[in-house]
Amino acid sequence: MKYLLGMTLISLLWSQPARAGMDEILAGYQAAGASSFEAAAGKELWNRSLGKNEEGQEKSCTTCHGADPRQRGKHVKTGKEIDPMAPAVQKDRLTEAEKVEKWFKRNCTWTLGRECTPQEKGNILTFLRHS
Amino acid sequence: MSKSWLLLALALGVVGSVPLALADRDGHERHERRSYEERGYEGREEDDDDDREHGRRRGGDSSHRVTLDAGYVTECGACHVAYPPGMLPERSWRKMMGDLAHHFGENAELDQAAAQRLEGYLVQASGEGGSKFARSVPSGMTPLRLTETPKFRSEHDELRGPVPVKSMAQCEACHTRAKEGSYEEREIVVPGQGRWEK
Repeated sequence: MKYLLGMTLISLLWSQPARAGMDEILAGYQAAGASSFEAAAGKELWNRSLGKNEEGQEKSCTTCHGADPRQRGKHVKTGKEIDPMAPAVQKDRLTEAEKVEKWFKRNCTWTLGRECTPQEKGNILTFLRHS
Repeated sequence: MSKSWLLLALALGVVGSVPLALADRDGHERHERRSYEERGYEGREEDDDDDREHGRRRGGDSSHRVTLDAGYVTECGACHVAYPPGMLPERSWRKMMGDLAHHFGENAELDQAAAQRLEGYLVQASGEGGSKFARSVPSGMTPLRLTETPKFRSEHDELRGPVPVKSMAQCEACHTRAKEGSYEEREIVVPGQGRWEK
């Protein structure tokens, strides 16, 4: 019985870091001035298209990641498969602040032509978390 | 009693060695079991690769298989397959790492520490042993596209189209173990054509 209890505790604690990672990231955005986050707003931004770029590619998250974050994506240029963005499907997603910032910087620039605001980033992460 | 056992052991040894003596590695299957290292470096007629003229490659990699740095795979294998550093000469890697903001139309910038480390790795790994790909590039050229080296072209000159890939740089489309750094012929499966080695 004690053993079972111990194992349960350990397994609960073990799963914490994954969610703690995203919570910390979101807290960081709020500290930077964002208000409460909305999955719906994140979804809108995710699906938004800002027209085509010079290479004829649609400037949207969905171009590489697809509309459904639970599905695998495909890089529009190289064809390389991209693991799903939804943490519900891909456990390690969106837990490392550095990695999240690196890709937001590259991909917001590619789609919006500028960096995303903390509000926008938080909305997107919230949308992905609830996918 | 012990003499009988000795005789038995001897008999078994003789009998057991007969199939070994008769066995013939006639190489009827091109890449049968043995790795490049085991086959030695004397060269085999049916093997079109002659990298081995320069002797044993450091690290025990065969010419069709490389060990890739984990950090390199993570950073540079995110959007495309992590290409073996030997596919390009050192000067090409330096040039590429010097302008990651304009990486084939994308921004692939990294923090300085990571970029420096990766450049060091690429330069060292590409120069090691002097790969055939790197050496096939004329001295005046500094290609950024590994598909543009003479050796790359000659390696793929037997391929007949059409092949459903976005570009020839999409190695993993046919080289089924490209992600692990392996490009052995027996692993090739061309979409729409099947296995390369019939």
